Amino acid sequence: MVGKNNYDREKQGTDPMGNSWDDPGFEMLLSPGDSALFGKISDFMKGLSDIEDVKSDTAYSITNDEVNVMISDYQKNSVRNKDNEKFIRDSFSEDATEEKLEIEVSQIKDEISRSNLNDISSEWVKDWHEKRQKNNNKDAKTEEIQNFVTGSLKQEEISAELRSDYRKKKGLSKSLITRYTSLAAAVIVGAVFLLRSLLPSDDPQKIFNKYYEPFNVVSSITRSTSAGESKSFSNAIGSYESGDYKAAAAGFSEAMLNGTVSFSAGFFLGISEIELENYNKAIELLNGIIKQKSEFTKEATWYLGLVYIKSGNKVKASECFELLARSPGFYSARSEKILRLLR
Amino acid sequence: MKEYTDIEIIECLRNRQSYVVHYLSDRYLPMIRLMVANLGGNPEDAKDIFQEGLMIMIEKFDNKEFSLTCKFKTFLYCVCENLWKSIIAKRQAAANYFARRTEPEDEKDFTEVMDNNMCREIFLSVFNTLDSVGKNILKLYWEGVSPQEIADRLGYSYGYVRKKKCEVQAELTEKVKKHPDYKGIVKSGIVANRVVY
Repeated sequence: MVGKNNYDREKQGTDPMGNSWDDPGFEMLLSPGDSALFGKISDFMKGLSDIEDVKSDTAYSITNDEVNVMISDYQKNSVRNKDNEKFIRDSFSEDATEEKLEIEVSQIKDEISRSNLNDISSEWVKDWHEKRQKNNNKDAKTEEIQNFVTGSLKQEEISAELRSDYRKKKGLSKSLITRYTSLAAAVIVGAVFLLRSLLPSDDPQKIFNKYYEPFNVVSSITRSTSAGESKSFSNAIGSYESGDYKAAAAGFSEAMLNGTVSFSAGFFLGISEIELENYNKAIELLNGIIKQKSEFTKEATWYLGLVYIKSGNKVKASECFELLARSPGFYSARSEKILRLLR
Repeated sequence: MKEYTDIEIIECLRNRQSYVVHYLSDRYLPMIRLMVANLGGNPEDAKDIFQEGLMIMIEKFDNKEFSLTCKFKTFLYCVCENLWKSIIAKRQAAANYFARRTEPEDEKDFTEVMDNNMCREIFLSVFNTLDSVGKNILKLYWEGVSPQEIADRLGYSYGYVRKKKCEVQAELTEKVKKHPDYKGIVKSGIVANRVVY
């Protein structure tokens, strides 16, 4: 972002494998100005490369035409979805606060290096320690300062406590009423817990029903295919979307034989087989997709886990959800939930 | 920086997970800023366009019938570009209607635009003077590729990639700072806060 300091640390981060760009030694050598300048250059170069990439996308001109219509429709429609607007604005205001803080920190750092404050403050700290050691905290002036600071902080703590006491008292009458009902509730909850612990964990069938839904088509991904192949794949997608999984399976099988859309066709064939209740076939197909590491790897792992649950193989299912839970993203939290239910 | 697939981005937007908006802002706002700057806008315009562009897209994604037939990035770019062009057209129409006399302000804007354009030219020309290994490492670094992956792709050791990136980063910033035109811009005091790369 423009004007951001510490570009390396903020943008590229550290990955959990220790495979990181972090280099505190190098960063210490950089002045805040250099770091900010590199941030600006990086932003420009990233933008430039992304634009080149977009402009060379074969789908660009078609998308552009479609979007043109979309934008004019959007602008004609004066009633906006307020929830969407709020979601985006809130997300950005979090960013803006962070950005403000970073700018502030960067300005502070700039001032520190300009005014040589680091050396001065380290001298002060050194003096302070020496003085404390020499006088063993008995110096009247030091004691007075210490009392002032600790006293002020205590006052702040007391007023915070008073505020919280007041809030507690305000809620007291309500809590007296609820205390008795809570007791009854606690007994019921306890009984439910006891029952749950005596019964086996959640029924796999229930987990499957709760989490399974056929994959929603968001990308036809047919750019690199020839016209004929693309047509058979598109037809299969059409059947899939209309819920005709038998026809879809036939279409995807044909597309797979043609070869060029094998990842997407294989993945959708896997889902179609789940819908047709051919679970063993689905397992075989989804395993194949995962092994080939395509853009469907995560999705395939998710569905494979669900099919394993459906077919009663909890161990294999857990392996799939453990993988997804470890990897941040859409499936992470829900995989953790399933893992808890499976345990 | 964790990368998200197009499918994940759409699912996260459908579920209103704000971390994906942060990711999109980190990853693609520079592209939108550059596009808007190329068409005469400023970073604030770019931010507004990016936000409104995302709103338009979310409305589309919420419709389960919607299917994306290109890369998410391409779609985002097209939406924002079209939106910005429509706003420019409206602004132009408004300006024509009111026929305001705004020469002094225009003159100032023009100088800023010139400086920003010059900055961009400097960045690019200096980048092109770097050796090819350094350029490749930086390009991949800007794409968010990890040092180990760069090492694997280009056939160098992990340590070499990290070291080379530091060297080439230092060389790039030094050369930009020493560039006579850049010095001129810094002297004019505009670049400090207003540069739109």
